[in-house]
Amino acid sequence: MHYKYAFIFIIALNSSLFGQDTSNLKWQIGLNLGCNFPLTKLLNGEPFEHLLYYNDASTYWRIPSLTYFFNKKLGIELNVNWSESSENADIEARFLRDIELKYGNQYFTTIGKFSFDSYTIQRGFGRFYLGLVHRFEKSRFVFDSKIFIGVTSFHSGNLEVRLKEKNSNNLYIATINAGKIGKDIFTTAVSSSINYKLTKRIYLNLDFIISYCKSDISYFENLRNLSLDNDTTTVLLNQKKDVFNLSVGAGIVVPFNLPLLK
Amino acid sequence: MILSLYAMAITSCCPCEKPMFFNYTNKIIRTENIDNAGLNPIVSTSDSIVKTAFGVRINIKREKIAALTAKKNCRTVYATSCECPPVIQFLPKDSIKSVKIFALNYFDKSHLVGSDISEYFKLFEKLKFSFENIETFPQKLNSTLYDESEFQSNNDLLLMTPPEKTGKFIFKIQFILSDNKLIEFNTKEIRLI
Repeated sequence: MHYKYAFIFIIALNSSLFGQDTSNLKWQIGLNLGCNFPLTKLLNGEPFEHLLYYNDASTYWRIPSLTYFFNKKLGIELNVNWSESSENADIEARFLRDIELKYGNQYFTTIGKFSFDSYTIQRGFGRFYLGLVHRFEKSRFVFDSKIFIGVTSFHSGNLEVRLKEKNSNNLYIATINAGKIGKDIFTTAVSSSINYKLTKRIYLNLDFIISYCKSDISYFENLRNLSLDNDTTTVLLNQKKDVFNLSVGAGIVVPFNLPLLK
Repeated sequence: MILSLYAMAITSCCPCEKPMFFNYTNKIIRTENIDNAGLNPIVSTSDSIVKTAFGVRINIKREKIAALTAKKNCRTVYATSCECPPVIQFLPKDSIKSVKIFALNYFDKSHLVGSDISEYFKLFEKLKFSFENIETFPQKLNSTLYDESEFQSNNDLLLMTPPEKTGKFIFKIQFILSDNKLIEFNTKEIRLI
């Protein structure tokens, strides 16, 4: 529940800064690097979760945010935070370890087919936001408060594990299937950023975002008995969780004007 | 005009090398008891095997015999593709009609001494990680081969329903050829525990 207070705190902080002087530059782009700190975690440590290209704690980089100000105070912002995690590179090995723990006593396990995408970009995950910005300036400081809606988006893989029963001729194929490969979870967020004007056209930026999404991830685990004419048992694994995340980042902001759109 | 050109195109010959056809014969057929308690089936050197992990390996060595007359060397062109057949093909001379397995000992209530227990065995396809019914085994043995490296094959028939009781067992493998000739082999006596 205390995360709700954090939401309120950020909004209150920004509200207290309203009503000040603003810049006349209508556009700005922002580049930012930061860390995601999970306030509540999406992952529980279940084996199938290794099939999700998502990490609760991770670093992110902002593929520049773009903001347009309608007037001196109000604007709209498009913001993409893209995360990579070194753990994702090891995803198959970690999954095998978990499968070995689950089935290893009774079966010899070998990986059949991984349906992971080999492209690096799909091994990361992103938070895509669109929202309103309110600006307040004081001497060399610019304070922005933002409210966003968007999606937390990541890929997931399907997996086939071959199981050979010990001391037996029985063979099984366990498939763990996420159905849809891409996951897009509706996300809301509030943000506060503090910019320091190095020059008229370059600001140093410190950025805080608290985001919330409700995960709803389903996985089917099928165990196909090859010895019994492919007799299959299916287990549905479902996960619904409230996920709060705090992103803290730093970078630069570059305000500008497009000559034709002044 | 266009139709006749099209007709010519689809009936014209590809520039394929003339294929050569040979017959092969199944020269040596040997059976071994296999132990499948581990990850992969292995030939057993022990005198006992866990009854749920027993199988029979059938080793087949083929031998090339007479060359046959080459068939017409023409493959029609479909659209822009031109697929040539393999240059060398080996066809079975003495095709195998069926493979049966008999238990020479009491197996279970419905399979007394000398009963056909073929239905209890399945052909293990290691590369595909799958089973085939034993009825498909002759088809596999009679297949057209394209390389002499395929002349030797090991085929694992795994016992999917174990005997009612533990004890010593001998199995008889019976091949019925297309001319109804019988070839029979007995496995080495094994204690199924």
